[in-house]
Amino acid sequence: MNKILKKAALGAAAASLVLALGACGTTTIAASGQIGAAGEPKDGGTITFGLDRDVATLDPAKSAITSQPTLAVANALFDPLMAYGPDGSVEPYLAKSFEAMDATQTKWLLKLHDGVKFTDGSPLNAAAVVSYMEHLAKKETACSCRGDVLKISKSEAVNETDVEFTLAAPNAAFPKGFTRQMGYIASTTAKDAFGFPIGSGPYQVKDYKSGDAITMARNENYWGKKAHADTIVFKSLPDTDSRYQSLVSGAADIIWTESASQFNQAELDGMDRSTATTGTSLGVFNSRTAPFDNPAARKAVSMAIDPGALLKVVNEGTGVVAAGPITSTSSYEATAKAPGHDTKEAARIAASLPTPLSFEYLTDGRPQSQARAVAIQQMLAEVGITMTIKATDLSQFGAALVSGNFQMVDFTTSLFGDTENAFTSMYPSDGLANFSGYKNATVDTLVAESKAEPDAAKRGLLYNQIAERGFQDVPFTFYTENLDGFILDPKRIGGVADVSSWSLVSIRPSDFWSPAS
Amino acid sequence: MVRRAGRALCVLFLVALATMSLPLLLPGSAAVAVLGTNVSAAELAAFTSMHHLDANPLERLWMWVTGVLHGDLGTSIVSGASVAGELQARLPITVELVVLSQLLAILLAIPVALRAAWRPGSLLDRLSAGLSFVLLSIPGFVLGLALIFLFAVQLRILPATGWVGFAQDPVGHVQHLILPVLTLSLGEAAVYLRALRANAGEILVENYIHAARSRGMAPGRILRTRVLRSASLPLVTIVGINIGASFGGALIVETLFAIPGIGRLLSSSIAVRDYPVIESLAIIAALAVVVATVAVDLSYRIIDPRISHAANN
Repeated sequence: MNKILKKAALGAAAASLVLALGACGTTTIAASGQIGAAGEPKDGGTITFGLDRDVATLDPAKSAITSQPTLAVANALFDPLMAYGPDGSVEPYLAKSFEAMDATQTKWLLKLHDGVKFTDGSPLNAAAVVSYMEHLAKKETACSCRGDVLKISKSEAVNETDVEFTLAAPNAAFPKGFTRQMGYIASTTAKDAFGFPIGSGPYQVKDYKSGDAITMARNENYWGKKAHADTIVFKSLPDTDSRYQSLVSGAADIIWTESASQFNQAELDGMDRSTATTGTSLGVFNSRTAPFDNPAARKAVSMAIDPGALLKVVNEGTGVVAAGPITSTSSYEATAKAPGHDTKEAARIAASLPTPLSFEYLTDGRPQSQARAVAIQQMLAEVGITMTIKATDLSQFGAALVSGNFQMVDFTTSLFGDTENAFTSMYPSDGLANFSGYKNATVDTLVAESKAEPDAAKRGLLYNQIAERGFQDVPFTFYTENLDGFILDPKRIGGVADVSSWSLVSIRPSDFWSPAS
Repeated sequence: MVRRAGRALCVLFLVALATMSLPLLLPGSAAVAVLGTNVSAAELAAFTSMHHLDANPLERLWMWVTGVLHGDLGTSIVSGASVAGELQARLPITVELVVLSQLLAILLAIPVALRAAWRPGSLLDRLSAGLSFVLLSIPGFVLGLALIFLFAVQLRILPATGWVGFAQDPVGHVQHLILPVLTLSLGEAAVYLRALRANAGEILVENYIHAARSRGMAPGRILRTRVLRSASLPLVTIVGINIGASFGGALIVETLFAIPGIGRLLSSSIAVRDYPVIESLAIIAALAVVVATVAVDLSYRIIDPRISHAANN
């Protein structure tokens, strides 16, 4: 017993020393733009990646591996047609090129690399891409991307490597839609030993245990640059605290987290971070029903909320204040300015309303969302607005969003990472993500113009005009751009991309390498 | 016995019917979890209808029972995986976790409770009372995190999270079991200790115990043969109830230690309203509780034959 106590005391003392030394450490970014172990990448070894959730399926047509925390799984098994480059721009990846065929922005030509093969050796050619698009369009595939796929009126393989897409309406940002779910081309004919469709990625599934881990082995016949690590294990570590403890204890080499306190703690523990501000938190008003069918009520609430205070209290100072729909990492410059926080004006508007403003605020039950709701409740009380908080779970929350059965919701999304998609889905009256029920004919026209505008600079001007209208009509009120990403142990992993300027965190595990190998 | 079996079947039927009513009662939508939020209400309704989530509970129960009779527990709406396959992989893990933690809790509680009762007010009695109070006050996830911090992060002698199959690596299997089993069992041991200590204290002042002592019977033998048997009736009742409740405790421990058991499967299925999985798991959990309750009832007759005689008379 004494021995154990002595060992525990020594462990605690050693840990204190490590904490003290670690306090001086910060993440170092190599000249290559990568984070983690220094030196030349080595081949071999095993990397263990801690995911924040169970991965129920490896089929990219489902959403399980195409949300930000799990995109690394998708990038290991599949190749996206388009991918984000280090500067945040979208570049061809599995595609060799993806360009508009004429000025209408309705006809697009995708050219694939020659000789790309699925892991079973069958060709990933134009016919495979067309077949996959047809698969996604089917109702029974139940892809959440179906709405976007149905905007393609025709996909045709014109030869072995070229696919011609004809769109129902102009879309100047069409290729960007292939960075996520629609872009991960899976075989429609072949499945692996675990029943999942195969891809053409740098790894292939060696073992899949539901709710436990996915073990992947390097694809030795990969068409592109081969992966460094022999094996990658994606472990499901759903509890935020024990996931971090797993990293510190050596059971994982890299983890995904959205916890502000863990990012701060990582610095003290001598861990590296690769983070971005890709998740935007905002309040969405239901403009179809009372009390927020009155724009003055929306304005009063919006002006009473102090996003800077939310950043300090809820995000523990990590991340940035969200200035609007054009995020800090967007390739477009935000010139439209939101009215800003003004308690006096908010109180004046609230007092001028025919009845005292009182409403229900819906949250998805996550701790950060709850904390934000409580802070907002206090801010609104100061200007005489009564807010009650209703906490739900994600399923109930999603159903309320779609059905419009809410007054105001606390919404956190990575949608704003893709500026074009955010403007075309959240603002127009027929937008798929227009949960607010916002209707403005001028905005509809501007969105239609932006879709057809091939020039990015001109498109940026249109987006700022839409944002300006939005600030006047207030269908949403923006809070913060939250920090999320990876914490890693630089002693055990190298080659992790610095995602700080990325608008979508989609790292490639093929770049990871193990110093121990 | 027949009456008891009939009652058990009634309970199971009611639980199954209540479970099959969940899609109509619970807010939230499985369709949103699968199709996302960028879909129309009509598409959500079509999805709901395709998976019979809008059917009446009796109809759903009938479909489930006929499926079970054909060896089919249904298919997950979210992953498309067979529910039977998921259960086959995960149920043994949870059962192992629950059984081992109950055994450890009983093994820890019995000797300490009996010895403490033998000498009321002794150091052991006071220490065990204090410790059990502390263990009862600490929530399971806090205890689990503290154990991870001590044994995995500081001492680095046990893994923080994860699961290894026995066939794959027997030593690794045991190493991965220790912290979750400790987390589950320490709280339970405190409950058993307090219950057994109180009962043993009452029995130790009975005349037949004084008689045994005056005949010179060794304390250990008195505790084993006279006190434990009489004092364990309430303990058996608590253990029986706890086996059902342990599935709830397993959920927390499985999430904390990243163990792929049915607790975690149930939790993630509830989050996305994956009703085929929820229904099968709920009915199996109810079956486990019913079987445990019947087993406890039957064990009373073995532990205390007077109950059997009374029932027969």
